[in-house]
This record gives sequence, structure tokens and C-alpha cells, in this order.
Amino acid sequence: MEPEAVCALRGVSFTYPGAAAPAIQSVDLTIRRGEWVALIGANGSGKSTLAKILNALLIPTRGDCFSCGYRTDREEHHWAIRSRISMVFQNPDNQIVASVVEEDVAFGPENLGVPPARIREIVRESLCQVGLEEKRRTPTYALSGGQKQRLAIAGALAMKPECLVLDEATVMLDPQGREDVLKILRDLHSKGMTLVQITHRLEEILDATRVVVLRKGQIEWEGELPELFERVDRFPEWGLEIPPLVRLTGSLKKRKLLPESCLPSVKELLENLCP
Amino acid sequence: MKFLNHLTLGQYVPANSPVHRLDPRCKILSVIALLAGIFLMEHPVAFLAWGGLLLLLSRFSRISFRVVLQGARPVVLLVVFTAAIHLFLTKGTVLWEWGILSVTREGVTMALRMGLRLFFLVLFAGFLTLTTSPMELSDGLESLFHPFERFGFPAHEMAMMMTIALRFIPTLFDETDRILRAQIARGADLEHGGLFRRMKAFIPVLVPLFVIVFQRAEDLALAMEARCYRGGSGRTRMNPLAWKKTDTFAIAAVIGIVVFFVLLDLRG
Amino acid sequence: MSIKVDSLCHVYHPGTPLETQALSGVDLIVERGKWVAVVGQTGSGKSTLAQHLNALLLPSSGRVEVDGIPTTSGAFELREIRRKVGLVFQYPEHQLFAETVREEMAFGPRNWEFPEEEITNSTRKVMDLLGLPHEILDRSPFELSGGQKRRLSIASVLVSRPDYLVLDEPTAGLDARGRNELLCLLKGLVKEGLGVVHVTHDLELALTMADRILVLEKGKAVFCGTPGSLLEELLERPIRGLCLPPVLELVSGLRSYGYSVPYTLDSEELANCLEREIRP
Repeated sequence: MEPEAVCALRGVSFTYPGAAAPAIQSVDLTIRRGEWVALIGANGSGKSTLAKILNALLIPTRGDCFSCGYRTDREEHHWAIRSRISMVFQNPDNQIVASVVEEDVAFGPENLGVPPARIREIVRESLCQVGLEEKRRTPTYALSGGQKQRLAIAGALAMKPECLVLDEATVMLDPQGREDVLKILRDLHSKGMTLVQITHRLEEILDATRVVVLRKGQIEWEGELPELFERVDRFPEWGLEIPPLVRLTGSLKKRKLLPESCLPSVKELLENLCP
Repeated sequence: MKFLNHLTLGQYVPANSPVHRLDPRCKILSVIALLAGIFLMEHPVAFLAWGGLLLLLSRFSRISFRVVLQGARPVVLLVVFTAAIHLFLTKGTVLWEWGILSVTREGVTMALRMGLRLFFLVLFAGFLTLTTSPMELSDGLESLFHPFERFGFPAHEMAMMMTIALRFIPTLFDETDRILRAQIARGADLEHGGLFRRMKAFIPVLVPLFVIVFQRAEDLALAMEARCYRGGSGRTRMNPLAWKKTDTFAIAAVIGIVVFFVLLDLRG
Repeated sequence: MSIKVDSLCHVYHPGTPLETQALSGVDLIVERGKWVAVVGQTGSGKSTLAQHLNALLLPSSGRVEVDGIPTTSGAFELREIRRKVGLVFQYPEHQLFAETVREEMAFGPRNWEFPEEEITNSTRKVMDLLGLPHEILDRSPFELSGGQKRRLSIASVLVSRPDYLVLDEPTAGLDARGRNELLCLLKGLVKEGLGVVHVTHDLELALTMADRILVLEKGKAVFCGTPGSLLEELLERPIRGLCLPPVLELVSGLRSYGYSVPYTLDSEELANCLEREIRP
């Protein structure tokens, strides 16, 4: 395993008990420290399964997964792995344990046996990172969907992880809630957090440093963002939507109005078109 | 159209009051003492004293008395029912008669006593949940039951179960409400027909609810596992329970008041 | 023949400290064979409005009429209104309950006392319409894929032959393929005369699919008109409470820089305009 790797998957396959076909098949993937990896693909392409393998919630049925230097198939390593690779799930309602915001954030460090004074410090920091410090004593049921998901992120951050895995964490949110979550991710990444982001919305991956396309449980394509958008013609086959902004960017590049390196984000387009 | 309204449940109301700051164990034991006192209550006039205590508590905990009363709303029917049974079934000097129904002087006293007892019971118990967060409450119970763990009593598991149950009550009320609406929109009739028909009519509500509950439970278990939950051993607390002097004072005061009230009552 | 919403107001928990005005003075007409999108952010009152259309909620003031019958009529008319206006909630999990797909489909029509034979015929027809294979009739609805569940929940409402269909975020959580298939199917139903009310926070979707768009903000209608007129309106003023999709956000940025480009989702048109602006 490379020293810079947070996770390394070698020939990993996983079949759910009772299922006929494997959910993911012979996947080789390395996630390096400080990367922002976007895992994209259609529903049922195996994205979520792969995410759960990274932090040992699922154990490969074939192949090896190393996370933070530990083999995930050894149960005694699971706590160490899960405290270093935190996870945020799709439905915020199903990951909140406590009835009061700060008590929920404290749940992770409490499980790790962190001393009380340090937990209070961590809780304060984590809530600040997601902009919920004002809601510290609020009952969790009174939060909006977007706030609940930010709380879930705070709960994951409270484990002081090296890497955050987000499994379709914006699917149930409205545009404002999505934007809030993305802002937090950008902030975390700039401070050195490794991110694995699972989504099928291309609008949300424009900050990723690397993109992995999954199709039918296998890695179909892997590369950086500008290369991804050169392969727009393959999107339908990969089960991906082509957002209008991506079309427009392609069309402007053809007319030589934009440099080839320009990403289909509002910010980059404006920077290039309005010098 | 009447749909569910979860706001009537006696839920935690965060505030920074002396009562909120008390150790949950102190509050649990105090409530037990208060409930015992109410059970021993005989003279209806003595209830005025208890009523006064309730108002005092509401002031000290900075929770408006209206909110306290709202918490008791779900049990009003039970209170009325209990009172009615005693009103009509107690034998004694007849005051009023109509067919097989008769009201006696003793019946009126009993009805008032039992009705008020039950009502006060709920109100005092309500203070516990209104001023103590579910997490504190379960920490308190876990700590009180801890001595029994050596006999195999699962104190931590029970407390965690309670935390989660309390956390999911509002969510499940919302879900039930949504399911009700979805099925009524498909023409389900939940309000008409005999008992059997109405019970049958609730199957389309109960099945999705069960499926959702199991799905949520599975998701939650996974999320807890991802956050390194592995039972009670080795766990620390953000706010460990700490018995303070004020707690000793508070519980002494409560026991003092209860004994005083009971003695006063016995003297008549 | 239409649903008419006339200065509708709705207040939740009136007379309590939690009193909230969810809708204030909303007007809307939904005709058969038309696709109306109701767009707004969370808490804008769009779900409240949806529930008024089939009398799950009743007006605090104002009126809602379905084909001339007000939703405040008696129990008999109410049942007819609920059949005429089908309502599909966002998550199929909130309604799927039966042991088989066949039973799930029959639930609505049986409540409305359709003859069994008609239910069987109608079930087959609707399943064909929504691209659900007949083989799944005897399977459990819980075994279906996410996209199929979503389509089944819509089919189980359509089988009672409603004249209007109200859908709350029908595409949330579906991938590109599932989403496009579903939208295509719905477009077909509208062509055949169904009135569709599509509740969503996705303006892009509303602009491409709807005949008319109602934008709600904090319970008030801030815009009501065709997608074309909405885009024209944007040239004049920003519409409050509207979250612009990235392309329109770009247009707004380009316009404030000085380019005269139109608000449109058509990337070719936009690229042509920009080319003319940059290389005159």
C-alpha cells in the first residue's frame, strides 16, 4: 500500500447474501490523502456498496480492502478504521441518534471514549464547521432537512476523521440545502480533508480532483474532471444526465470561445467569458 | 379532517433553569417521591397545596403552565373515564338518580379524588420529561439501574433503547400522518363502518409504517455502527452525571414537602 | 372542466403559539390536458397547496373547486373529488402495503367500489401505460426497484381513472434514465387529457415540462404564467424565492457584465447569441 493512500482496494468483489450477481466486481481503486474523489454512476451501479466497503461496514467477498493501513476483514481493526473514515448517509433522519443537536454530535466521540472536556471542545468545533453553533441546544426534530444533514456531517466530523465518505448525502435536500452541504465540503477539502462523494448529479462534482464512473459494479472510467467532460457522448451509456451547462460549455469550446481546460461551472464560465 | 398532532406529547423543552440543571437522578427520585405523596392524598382540599406546588415548579423550571397542561392532553380522556367510573359506581348516600345510574355523595368525593390524583400524577411526571433531555434521562436511569447489572440486568441497552425511542417518536408521528394522507387520497375510509371494518381499514396504514420502521431501524443501526457504537463499555459522556450539593438539597426539600403534605393530610 | 383555486389561504394550528400562515391568497387554474408546475423552496407552501387540490386540507379562507364542486362539500362529493384528483406523495414507501402488485393496484378502485372486472382491465391498461411488465402482478411491491416502486405508486392512483394527477417531487432520487422515462410517460398522459400538477423545487424541470408555472414564496404566488413568460419576466426583474438553475444563473451573470443574452435553457441558442456578442 502506498504511504499516501487512505484506502486501497485490490480486486474487490462483493455479493450480498442471497443475491445472484455481485454488486461490485473486481474493483481496483486507490484513494490518496487530500483527494476529492467523486464516485458517479446510475442507480444500482454499486456506488453505495463500494462506499460501505471503504469503512468496513461491508467486507469484500473477494479481494482486499486496506483502509488507513488496516485490512478491513479483521474485526479488531473496525473501530480504528471507522473513526478515521467517517460516513454520511442519504437520509439525515436515519442517522441522528439523540434528541438534542449537541448530544447527537457527541455520540461518536463518546463511543470512542474521549474525555468529557475534550468532547465538549470537539462538539463546539464540529458545529462551527457546519454553521450550526447557534442550534446547539435545539431539539433535532425541529431542524429542516438541510440542517439535519449538516448535523449528520458534524456528527461525522466529531470523530476527527481523515476521510469523509458521503453516500448520496444531498439527494433528499432542496437546492439551498445542497448548496450549503457543498460549501461545507469545499471548506473541509481546502483544510486537507480527504473526500469521497457519491452522487448522480454532475452539478455537484465540479470541485472533485478525480472522478470514478461505476457501471454495473465495475469501474468504467477514471480520470480528472476536464477529461470527463470530453466524454459527454458516453454519459447516456453510463446512466448520467447531461446538464444544460455542460452542453453549453461543450458548444462554446467547439466555437473556440472557451479554453479546453474550462470546467462547466458558472464561476469558471463567467471568469473566462467576462475577462 | 383530523390528523395526528405530535405537538401534544410531553417533550423536552430546552431552557436554562435551576430545574433543568438538576442531576437527572435527582429528578427521577424526586418524581417518585412526589408520585408516592400524591397516591397517599385523601382530602380534596389538600390538592390545592399540590396545585400550588405545581405552579411553583413551573416557575422554577421556566416552562409556562400552559405547556405543562398541554403535555397532559393525551390522558384527559383517561382521567375523565376514571372519574366517571368512581362517580357512578361508588355506593353511599344517593344525591341523584336516573334509571340504573346513581350518583352518591361518596361517589362525588371519590371521583374528584381519583380524577385529580391521576391528573396530578401525569402533570408531575410531565415535568421530568419537559425539563430533562432524553439523553440525560436515559443516563440517569442507566446510572440508577447500574447496581443491578451484576445480576444480568441490561441497564445500558435499556437506556439506549429509550433514547432512540424518544428520538424517533416525533419522526414516526410525521410518517404516520403522511401514510394516512396517502391512503385517504386513494379513497381509504378510516372513519366509517363497524369495529372490524375499521380495524381492517387500518392495515394499509400499519403495513407501510412497519416497513418504514424496520427500514429506519436498519439504517440507524448501520449509522451507529459507522460512528463506532459498540455498547456501553468504554463509553464516555460529554456531560457526565455529577451529583451536586444543590441536588442533595433539592431532593431533601422534595421529601420534606411530601412528608409535610402527607402529615397535614392525615391530620385532616 | 378544471380545478379552480381562488384566493386560497391556509393557516396551520390556528389560535396556538405555533400558528403559521402557509398560503395566502393563491389563485390557480388547472385544466385537463395541461401540465402545471408548482415551484418553490422548502416551506413555500407548495405541499400544502397540493393537499388542497384533493381536499386533504380544507381552505381557512378562499375556495378550491374541482369541476365546479367546492372541496368544502359533503362527504359524497368529497369522495368523488378525491377520485377525480389523484395525489401521489413523494415516497412510495408511504403508500405501498399490499402483498402483491395486483392487490396494491386494486386498493384505490375497490375503495371507490369499481366492479372487479373493470379493475382487472384497468390494472392491465395502466401497467402497460407506465411500462410495468405484467409478470410483476403476483410479486410483492416491496421487491421492486426504486424506479418501479415510484411508477407503481403512480399506477395505483391512475387505475382509479382520475382526471387530474398531483405529484410531489416524482423524480427525486431517480437517476437520469428513470427520471427521463417517468417524465416521458407523464407527458404522454397529459396529451391524452390528464391534468397534471407537478410540485417541485427544480425550476429547470418545470421550464422544460410544464405548460404553466406557479412560483410560490412564503405562501404567496410571486409568478404564474407560461415558461416563456417566466424567462421574459426574468429580463425585467429577479423573481423572489426562485432558485435559478446554473445555466440561468450564468445568463444573469453574463447580462450584468453587459452581454445581451436571453434567458433560455437551449444551449445552442445561447451559444449562438454569445458568439454574436463576443465576435460581432
